Amino acid sequence: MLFNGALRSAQDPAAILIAEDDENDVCLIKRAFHQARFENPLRFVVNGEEAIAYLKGDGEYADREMNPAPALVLLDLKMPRKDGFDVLGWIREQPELNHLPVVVLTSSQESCDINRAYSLGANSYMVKPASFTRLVDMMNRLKEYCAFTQQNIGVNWT
Amino acid sequence: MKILLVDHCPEKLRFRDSLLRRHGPETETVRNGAEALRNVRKGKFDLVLSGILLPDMTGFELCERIRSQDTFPRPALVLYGPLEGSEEPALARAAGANEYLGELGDPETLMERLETILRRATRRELREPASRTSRDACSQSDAFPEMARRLTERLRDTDAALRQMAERKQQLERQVAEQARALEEAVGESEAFAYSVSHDLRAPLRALLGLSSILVEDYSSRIDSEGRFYLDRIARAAGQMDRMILDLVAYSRMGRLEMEAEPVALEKALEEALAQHHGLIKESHAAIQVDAPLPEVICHPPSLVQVLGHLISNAIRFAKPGTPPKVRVRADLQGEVVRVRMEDNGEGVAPEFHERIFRVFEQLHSSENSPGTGMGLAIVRKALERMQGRVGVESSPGEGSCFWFELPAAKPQV
Repeated sequence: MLFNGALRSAQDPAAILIAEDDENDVCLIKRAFHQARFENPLRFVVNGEEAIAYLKGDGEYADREMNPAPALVLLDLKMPRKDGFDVLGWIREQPELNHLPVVVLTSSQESCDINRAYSLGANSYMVKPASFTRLVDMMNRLKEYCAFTQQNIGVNWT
Repeated sequence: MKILLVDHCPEKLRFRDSLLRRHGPETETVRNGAEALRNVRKGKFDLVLSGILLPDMTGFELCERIRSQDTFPRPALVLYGPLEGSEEPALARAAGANEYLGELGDPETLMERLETILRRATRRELREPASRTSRDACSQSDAFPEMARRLTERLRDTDAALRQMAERKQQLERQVAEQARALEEAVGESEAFAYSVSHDLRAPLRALLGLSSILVEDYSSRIDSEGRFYLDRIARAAGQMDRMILDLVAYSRMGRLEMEAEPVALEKALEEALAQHHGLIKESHAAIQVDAPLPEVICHPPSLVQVLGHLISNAIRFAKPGTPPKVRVRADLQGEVVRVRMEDNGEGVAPEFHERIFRVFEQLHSSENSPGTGMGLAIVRKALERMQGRVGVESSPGEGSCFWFELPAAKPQV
């Protein structure tokens, strides 16, 4: 089964897929997740094409032991090859991924981007903060959000 | 084309003269019939445009007398005046006028009509070379070929001039279209620019801030106080640059934002702005006095809140050291506008800076210890300009400042 991340009931915490092309941001996001005490395995991809390949389980991502299907996607908007909007649009076209929570994490605060992301089916939109402390705050809130989805939507996180 | 304008009213004359000149013809103006006659004798006018009421004669009489003068070229005569009955045009034609106009219309239309009249008059003269001055033409028959030759020339000139004007018109239209396209492109470019500024330029800054904070957190035991001092300066510089970028983007957004104007209660907008700066107000022990009630204005509500917020935070941040800031907000209706005044007891602004502080990235303080980015007042001015308002300051150093702005009133004074 390819799209089993949100459904599986194993003991391991579900994976989080993060699509982010900026190495520095990857480094900071990793650290912020760590400081917010997320225990979920994090998987990083660096462009939209890879994100879609990961979700499909194509090629190197076929091994779901190594690359478990995610229960949450953190999506940058501006990425090479396919951008965040492409990925979002694609996700919402897949019946199996209809309920996969997608949180946009981007540096753009242009209202056109915000509106477009929500109309394509993003669950939340977060603007990358300049200060690292605030990024940690944001990850803490994301954790609350995850707890909420677990309780109310049945996404299994632990 | 050379036109003689005749009217008893000097204001009308000047006005019409300046309008017509802009559309090409050479003009001269006179205020009475006698002068008009003298000028026509001297002047080689193509056309005389005269009102019917002159101080010394009527326009009809002027036409008759011009026609009886043996001037060459014979100008086309156009009279204008009230068109109450139908007799004026008939009288005008009987007096030798080519046309009687009930109204002159806008200068462009008028020029078109005058050109048509002139062309028709010239054609008629070619067909009937001596229709009105037949006596003279017959008695001086040797003058006739010369006259015909000159008239042909004139017709050719007129046609050439008309062609030229048509070409010029097309050229202008092309220029306007090009400018519109260039403007559209520029707007698109500036949007793309602001987008990439907010998106791409901020990413390395985030990294600078984030990574230096990691250094402080994880390696503090291995960095001495001097090292921490430098790290702190790096972080502060990056933070300052980030604020500048954000303000630059805010400024650019203010310039292209779609602003729907509506009646807004100033007091409510002020309340919101004060709430947004609650932290700063509390921290600085600022006293804000509002002379309620404040009148309603017409504007874009979020932009008004921004304007008020910038002015309040400026008043607090540029307080005199050691003196708790005091701000007093007043507003009054002045005809069609509401003038809002915000007085503070701060450092004040020297007169030579009253204009400069509203420009982009201008600040009076060295960036070293300045709390701002130098963009706040530029954003304020841009917002107010976009909302048909204006802004200014009255102040002298050490005396506090009074920043004022004006917006259209929701209920103007009658």
